[in-house]
Amino acid sequence: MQTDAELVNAVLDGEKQAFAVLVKRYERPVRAVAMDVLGDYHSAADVSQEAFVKAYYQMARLRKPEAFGPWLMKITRRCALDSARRKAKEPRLEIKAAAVIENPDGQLDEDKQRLLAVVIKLPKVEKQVVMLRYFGDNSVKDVAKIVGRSVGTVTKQLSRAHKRLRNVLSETEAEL
Amino acid sequence: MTAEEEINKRLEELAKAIPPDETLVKNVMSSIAAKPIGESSRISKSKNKLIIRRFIMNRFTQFAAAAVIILIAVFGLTFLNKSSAPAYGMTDALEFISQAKTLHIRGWRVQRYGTPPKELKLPFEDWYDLENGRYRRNYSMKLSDNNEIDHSSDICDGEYIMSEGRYKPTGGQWHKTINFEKVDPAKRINIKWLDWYRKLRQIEGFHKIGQDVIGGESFDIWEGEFNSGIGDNIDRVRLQTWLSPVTAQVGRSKTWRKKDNEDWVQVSEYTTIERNVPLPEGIFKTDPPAGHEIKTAKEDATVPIKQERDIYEHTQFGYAPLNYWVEPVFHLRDGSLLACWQSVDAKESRDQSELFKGLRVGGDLPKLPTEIFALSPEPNVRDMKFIGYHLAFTQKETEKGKRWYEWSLYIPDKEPPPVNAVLDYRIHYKLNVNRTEDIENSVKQIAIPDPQEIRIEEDFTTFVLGAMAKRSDGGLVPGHVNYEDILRLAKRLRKSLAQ
Repeated sequence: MQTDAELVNAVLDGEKQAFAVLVKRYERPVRAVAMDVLGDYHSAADVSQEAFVKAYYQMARLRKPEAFGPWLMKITRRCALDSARRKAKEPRLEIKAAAVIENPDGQLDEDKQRLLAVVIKLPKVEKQVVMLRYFGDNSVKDVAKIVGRSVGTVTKQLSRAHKRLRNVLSETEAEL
Repeated sequence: MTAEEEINKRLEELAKAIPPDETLVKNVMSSIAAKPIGESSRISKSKNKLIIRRFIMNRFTQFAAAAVIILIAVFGLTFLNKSSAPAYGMTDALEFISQAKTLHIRGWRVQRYGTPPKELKLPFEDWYDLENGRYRRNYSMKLSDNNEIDHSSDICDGEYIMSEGRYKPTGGQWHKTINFEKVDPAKRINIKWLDWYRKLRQIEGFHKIGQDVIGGESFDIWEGEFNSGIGDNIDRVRLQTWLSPVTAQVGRSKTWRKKDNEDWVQVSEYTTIERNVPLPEGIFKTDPPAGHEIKTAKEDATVPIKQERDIYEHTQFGYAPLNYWVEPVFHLRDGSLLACWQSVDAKESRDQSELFKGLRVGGDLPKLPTEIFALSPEPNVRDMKFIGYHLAFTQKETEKGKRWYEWSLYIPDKEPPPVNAVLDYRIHYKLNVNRTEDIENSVKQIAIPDPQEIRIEEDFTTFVLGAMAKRSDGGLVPGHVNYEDILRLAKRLRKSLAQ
């Protein structure tokens, strides 16, 4: 399994297929970030595609190839916010109606939305390992390979993220 | 359920609620298919122009903009001697050429003949379909015994190469021949293998020497000089290239050569260099012309050994009876080199198996009669070397007896130059023999050809493991050799070299 940095370097060397590996790797984390902002699958899918394409063409500007994951998520969030702003200017009724007809199950339930919102707010290193571990279906060992850190470091980062999630969730859920 | 388990479960459920979208990868890849990544900087350049234009058109900023423009113009006229900086330089030209889908090159080359040598300018025309691995090279040559000029073509249709040749039996007439070869997938035509492009890659030595106009278009003239050749047979080469600062189009290219203190002799001129032009219908057809004698028919064609050697170059250097071979060499994605070499001492009949005992992966090289301990790039602007470490070995029973092949990883001791800037790699070797007559010249530098580039795991499997299997009894490949582990080992060795 290649690290993000290796794949980024390969893309910069002209290997388009290396980018396909990155897209597969981050497809669900990116959609999760977009969903947190936009709230529905279809809009999130469109924004995800836009974010990947943008990342591809801006890749030469990425100074640290190993920071690809957090950088991509930042691009995704910006794309999602832009999309949300564009949508806010459109007539609300039409959007709602379209969403209901096209995507009856297109939204996360409240519980999941809350969890996702907390995951998105994790520090970027922890967010990346959580995203790769759960949304990318990767083992801890694979996550370690992808981010180029040791298994021990990734385990610690995951454990810290779990703790942080538990704390924040117990606070917000207690408020509810 | 513990708190840890609960959060784990909730995260897993959240992940399930966002299932994989198989169409996304396809959609993204088709969105980026149309444009290479390098285009992005040019897009932003044009966007910048728009922003500047909008700024100028704002009525409140018109006065300020006019003042700035006047100041810039005055500054430019005074300090830049009426010249403006070119938008495109040699680096851009190289990038444009490397991205070409088709190429059309026309011009002339010099054929030297007779004693004392005379020079004859002969036309050529090359067409390259780089996307589909096809080419047609039309060339001319003066026949050795008369003043007739023979016109021939080498054509590759992507699968077969059809080459025209000629021979003359004693006392007879010239016969034209046709020879078919099958294309080695590893030797598919690649822009980097074109001689002219290889020369242009000597980018670090190029500088602008003047300007010219061709067909109403302005061109900057860039000139570079470098050495070409190996061993004692080194020529000085001078290349001049006409480059449009507006489009990065190469309008003309001239090459001179000279040896030592001799005068420069112009050896070629490319008068037409066109990128991405439509290809004439049917030019890559490999139908043998009428009246030619078929030496090897298409149906009998094979991938020739000679072709393989162009990539997996098989070079025999050194002085007898100590010989060594370097075959093949690979350039890994992280900048390291992986080379296979062997060395035979004809005076020593013992099996070399002893020399491979106790070797450690990432450790010392085997003490073969000739030990290739380092490689260096040419030109070596950064004064660096690739230091050799043992990786694996293979053995094979050949017609000449059992051969032992060492596969070494060569790690750069400094940041290596970009691949584009390397014309050749040199071998540094020492002799591990005790015979005094063989000890002199114990370190030499001899060029090896361009390494095969290994970018992805698939390349590694095809080329490196393929080459290992070829040099191993029963096609066996050492079990510990895999791409990721080698890159990790290279990283570790590089770190320890830096320390």
